[in-house]
Amino acid sequence: MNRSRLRLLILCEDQLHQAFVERLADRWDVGPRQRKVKAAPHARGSAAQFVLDNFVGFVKSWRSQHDANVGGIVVIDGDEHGLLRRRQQLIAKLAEAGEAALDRNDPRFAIVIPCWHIETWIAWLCGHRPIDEQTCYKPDDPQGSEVGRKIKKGEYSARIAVESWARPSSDEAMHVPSLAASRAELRRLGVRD
Amino acid sequence: MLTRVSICNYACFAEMELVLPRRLLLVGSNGSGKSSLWQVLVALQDVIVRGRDVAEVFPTRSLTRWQDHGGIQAFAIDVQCGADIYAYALELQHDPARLTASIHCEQLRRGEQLLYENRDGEVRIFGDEPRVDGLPHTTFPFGRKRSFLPDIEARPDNTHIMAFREALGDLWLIKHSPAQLAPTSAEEAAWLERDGSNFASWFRGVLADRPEVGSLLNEALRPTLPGLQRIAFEKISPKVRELMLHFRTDAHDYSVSADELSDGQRSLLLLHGLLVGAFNRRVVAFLDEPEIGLAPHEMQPWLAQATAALEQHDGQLFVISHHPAVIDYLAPERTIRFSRPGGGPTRIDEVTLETTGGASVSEWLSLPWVYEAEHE
Repeated sequence: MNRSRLRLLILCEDQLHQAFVERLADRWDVGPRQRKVKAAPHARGSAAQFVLDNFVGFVKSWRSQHDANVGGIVVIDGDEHGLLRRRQQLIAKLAEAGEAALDRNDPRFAIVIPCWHIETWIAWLCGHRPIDEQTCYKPDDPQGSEVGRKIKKGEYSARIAVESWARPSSDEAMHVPSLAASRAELRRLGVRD
Repeated sequence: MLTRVSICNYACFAEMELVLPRRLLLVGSNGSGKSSLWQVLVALQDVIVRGRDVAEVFPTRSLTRWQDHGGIQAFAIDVQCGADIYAYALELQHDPARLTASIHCEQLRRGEQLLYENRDGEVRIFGDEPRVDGLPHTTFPFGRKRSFLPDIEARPDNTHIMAFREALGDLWLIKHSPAQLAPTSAEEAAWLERDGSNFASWFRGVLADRPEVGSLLNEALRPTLPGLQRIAFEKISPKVRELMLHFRTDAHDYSVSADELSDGQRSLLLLHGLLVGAFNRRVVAFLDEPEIGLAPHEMQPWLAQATAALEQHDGQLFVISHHPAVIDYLAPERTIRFSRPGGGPTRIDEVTLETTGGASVSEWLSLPWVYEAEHE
């Protein structure tokens, strides 16, 4: 794949995912004309099911692209399932549909699973401490409400988070292992940190 | 930031209140009231910033047909500027016999503090610092046909009124009509007309202030107008300039007037001009069907750039659309659907993933039976 001509098809859950992955794409010089995003409508609860329901169709659509420079990124929160189980859920969807499994080393496809959810990564990258992957950071959650409110007010945002993407903290893998794992996943696409 | 709008007794709105988030997508059937909401904000901006007569912008025929409030029509908006929340309310009295409207009461508050009032033909200005006795700093008689807010001069003791008026001035209400875009400009214009017709004059003014915006527009349009080299104004008389686009093909250089572009290309010119010329600061943009004339692949890139620019400057974006690419790009934010069950007053419902049953909003909206309740 010619990295300077990278094109991206993106499937994600919600507006925060969309903003986060689009700011990352901007960082990789994959501009708005080189990407196509599909995200769930605003949801009262989790939109993870939207990604699970659309995953097979998304993979088929990506596989049908005749341009080898088209990469695929799927973003789905780990929520209570965690990284490994969420990944297995996606893989199981392909198997159920009789679709060939994804090659884990395919340099054109990345599965990104923020745990607990994308708010965890945004708060971590915006410098909030302490952060862990067991807390839900929604405004109405008793434990994570401070982060949730800051994201809602725009104090923490996808844009600010991605600005510090290139400077991972030394203790990132300990506190936010899903983020460290996703960096490796995305590097396979040939994009810079 | 515009945080709330409320409308009573206007067109298809009997009583309507809407809390406005940072991004909002408005969908619904034709005639369901989406553009009427846009029109109310146009009229309020005309009254508060441009000094137009209320009778012109709120004609008596704009009263709701199916209810009688004694000819009273009311509007209110909340605007947040930093930590301050400004609440503006306008109450009009219509005279159905003479078909005219006049201001019954107009108020501007900052939190609980009254800053300005125009009641029954008397204007009272309280200024930034309220008097100990609670009385206004200034009181004088004024006609009921228009607001005095546009006439208030900026002074150190009325900074709050100015902040509110400037915030309303930075409300970009656009419903462009590509065919109306005039290629020539006799002078710079401070405002972009809502139909985009004076784009050339407005952009000429932008370039006079910020010449670098010309190359930004070139860069923005180059991927969509193949061969584009530069956009420039050419002198066709001592005052008049024509907006020209210069192209290069393999062997030839050629120029075309903005007038010679297709409708879709004019839409692109206007939308990208707006992006580079206006979205570089905190603004509120309310676009009514921005997709007019555009090829399907053009909307998502423009929306991606617009939302990124507005996010960077803490701006706001409201979009009315029937276009699947626009709808599905903005639906992850917040979507409201306008409908008029049985042809009555407008009803507003939030559309969520739960509403659509897991489908995309555009897919859901394309189902004819979604609209059955409107015809019962």
